[in-house]
Amino acid sequence: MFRLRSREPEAVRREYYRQAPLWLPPRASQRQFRFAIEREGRTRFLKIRDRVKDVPTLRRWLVRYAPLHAYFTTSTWLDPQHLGPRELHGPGYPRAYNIYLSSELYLDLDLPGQFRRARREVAGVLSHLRQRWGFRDLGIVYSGSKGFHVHVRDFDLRRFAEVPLDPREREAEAQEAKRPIVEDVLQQGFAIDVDTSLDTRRILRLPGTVHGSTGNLCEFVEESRLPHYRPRRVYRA
Amino acid sequence: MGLLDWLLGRKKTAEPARKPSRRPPAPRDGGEGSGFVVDSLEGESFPLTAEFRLRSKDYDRLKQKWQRVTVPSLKDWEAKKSELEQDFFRRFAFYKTMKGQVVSRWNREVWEFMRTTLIVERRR
Repeated sequence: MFRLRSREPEAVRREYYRQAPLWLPPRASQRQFRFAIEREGRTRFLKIRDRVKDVPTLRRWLVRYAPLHAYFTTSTWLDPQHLGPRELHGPGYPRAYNIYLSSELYLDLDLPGQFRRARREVAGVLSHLRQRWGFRDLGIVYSGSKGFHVHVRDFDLRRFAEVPLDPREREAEAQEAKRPIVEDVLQQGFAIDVDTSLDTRRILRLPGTVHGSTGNLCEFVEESRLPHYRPRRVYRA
Repeated sequence: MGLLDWLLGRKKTAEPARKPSRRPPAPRDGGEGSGFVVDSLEGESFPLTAEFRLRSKDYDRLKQKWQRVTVPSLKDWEAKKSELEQDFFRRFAFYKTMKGQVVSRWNREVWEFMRTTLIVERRR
């Protein structure tokens, strides 16, 4: 798929990002992108200072840092570069960097060491979301490690509740709208990570990037190809 | 160097060397050196008193605070470990939403699997 000359993981990632097809989530410029990078033997998180509005911007940052892991926020924010904790500890106006706009619904299905089962289960999750909740615009992403993510792109808060004008109430309402769906999926026996779905300040691995610990590609998987899908390895970790 | 300095052709002066911090940074909880993984307590002398905690193999945020535990004998270790597991469950089994609603984090099967993958750490 790509001709990679270097054997050092960081150099391989950099080379990969120079030519890789990249993907951006909807309303990317309203999201924060975070990289995990390795410096002096320690992994640290780095917030991307730019508004990532297009693929060339994302590529520039990916090539510069060749991160171990690349993530995006599952919610959109008025000022995503300055997204802070929900509770403000320092001085300042709490809402200045905490204006929640919207979010899709994301499900993280992890089954360590049971890849075949994870493939079956993610198909089951999709089927359940369609039949029970009427979602249609669904995407499957292989996480690059233990399982799959489901992107529910047609989750719309307006379908479940009045959208409050106050951003904090809006954030809480979005969480409440997702809660019964998440509880239902969990009750069906699917091993999803509740935090990923409900935490509005959560980050998720960016499809099209390399999972630095495994060397596998995190990528979209067509549903029709899911039963035979095998992870693609960019390098041997 | 500021814009004015640059316009006036002033050269950048060397920054004064930073004073070294008096104390080295404290090791972060869960960082290297803060504890070691325990597979078994065989070969230890009993009663054994030490600090233990459980942490998830897969999710770094799911880890207990250190707890001082006394293990009277090797055969009591499983019971003590079970107590730690129950504490871990009480602490992390529920997710609280902004409106105060509580959601189970795991169904029974997931918890049973999770329990088997918990890592025991110990520090003296």
